[in-house]
Amino acid sequence: MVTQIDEMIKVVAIFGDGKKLKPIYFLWGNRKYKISQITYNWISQDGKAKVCHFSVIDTNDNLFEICYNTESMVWKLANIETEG
Amino acid sequence: MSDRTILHVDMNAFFASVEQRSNPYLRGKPILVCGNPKGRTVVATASYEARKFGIKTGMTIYQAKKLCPDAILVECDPDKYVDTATKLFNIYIDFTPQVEVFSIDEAFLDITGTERLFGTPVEIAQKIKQRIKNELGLACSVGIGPNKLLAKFASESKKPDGLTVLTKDKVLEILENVPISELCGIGTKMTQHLNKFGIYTCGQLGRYPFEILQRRFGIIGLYLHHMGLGEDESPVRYYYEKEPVKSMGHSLTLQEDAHDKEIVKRHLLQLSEKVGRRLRRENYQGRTVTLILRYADFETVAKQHTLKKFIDDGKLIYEATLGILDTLFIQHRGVRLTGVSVSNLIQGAKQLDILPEERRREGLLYALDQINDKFGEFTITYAKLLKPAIEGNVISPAWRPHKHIPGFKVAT
Repeated sequence: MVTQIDEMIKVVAIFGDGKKLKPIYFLWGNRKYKISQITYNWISQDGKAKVCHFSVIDTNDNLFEICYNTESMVWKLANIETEG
Repeated sequence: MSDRTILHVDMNAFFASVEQRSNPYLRGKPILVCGNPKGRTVVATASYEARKFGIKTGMTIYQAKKLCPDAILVECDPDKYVDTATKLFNIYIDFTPQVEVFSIDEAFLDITGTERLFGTPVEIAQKIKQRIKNELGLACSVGIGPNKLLAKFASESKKPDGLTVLTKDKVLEILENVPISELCGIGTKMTQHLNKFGIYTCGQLGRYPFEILQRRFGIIGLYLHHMGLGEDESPVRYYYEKEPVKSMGHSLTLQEDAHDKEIVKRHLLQLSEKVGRRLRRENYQGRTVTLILRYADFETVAKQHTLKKFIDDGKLIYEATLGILDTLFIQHRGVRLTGVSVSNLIQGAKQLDILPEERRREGLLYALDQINDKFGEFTITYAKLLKPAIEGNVISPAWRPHKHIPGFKVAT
């Protein structure tokens, strides 16, 4: 079941050549979540802003969707996949 | 037209496959991609695991769950599918500029003359399949044929993950006993009409005297005759060619049947605003406004009104729909779906307004568009629409990709 969170988070990410972006880990609620796999990524438009979405799995096999708004430069935890 | 080689690429269970890529815990499970599962919705795409139970696109969730109680409902995410379709399109145009996007998950590619660059048609199809697999993790079926009709027929014949070649010399033999309904362009109604003539298979259609077909169906009769023979001269458009736009519209199924006219009006205002925005964005104006209502008993009615002047203002579109609504709305029948469209279009021929109030309105619309362009749709709108009648986003059947989508890729 998808649980919507929509909260700002701190993210450590690599901005590489050719507009490449790779989140490495994020901090949410004083906990660090290390990303072990990016399962999918896509871009959406929010007005003028582009929002980069990442489906990611952490080292404890939890699935999250995090996103980066290129206009406001804010990272958010969009939702979490939970049991049930 | 000289010999051509056309590819038809059809993504397998597209929305469901994207969701299974995105969420590995859904892989190998029966999933149903649908609208908001809490509201009234139908199956948009079922995964192959769910299809084994007989679930098909368009079924209600109740029907689908009856067939497969363990099926997992996944709410559709149009942004995800649109972005994926754009990435697919960018793969296709690496092979040929003649790419015609047929729908969000299907495209025709004319690869005639590209053999020296990329190899034989089969090699090209394999390269495309491989790139889709490597870059997006998705499977597709590819059909190769001498025209669009046969390429599509070929891709349909092996799913999932198929690659089928249909050569000209085998066409008549293969089509002989194929039911006419399996050809793209022959729907349920046309099948019924043709059945009345004793035509059930493509072989029968090809042999039927085309003069009779032409007398009964007009110009379509000649197309039908050619279809029966597996012939199709229609070209594959270049990706940068714009299809002629005949109308622009939006429709939406209501969360529950509306017996209150005010609720229907709120939907119409929002739909009219969306149509107005699209018209202005693409520099069109239209003169004929059509209102579509589907009652609770599924009877659909449409009525249009042609105005004296061309318009692109959502408010004027809305006012035109209200005039029509008075003649169509029947309270006790309840409304299930509303739709608004504008046709009779002209592009880039906007006249300057003379009256001061019209000029003021024009300025206001410009300012509203600027704000909504920057901050997102319906950021500034009528107070009535602050809680939108329609939540969420849908993919228009008229959706077509743009060549490049600036943004980020995932670093590897």
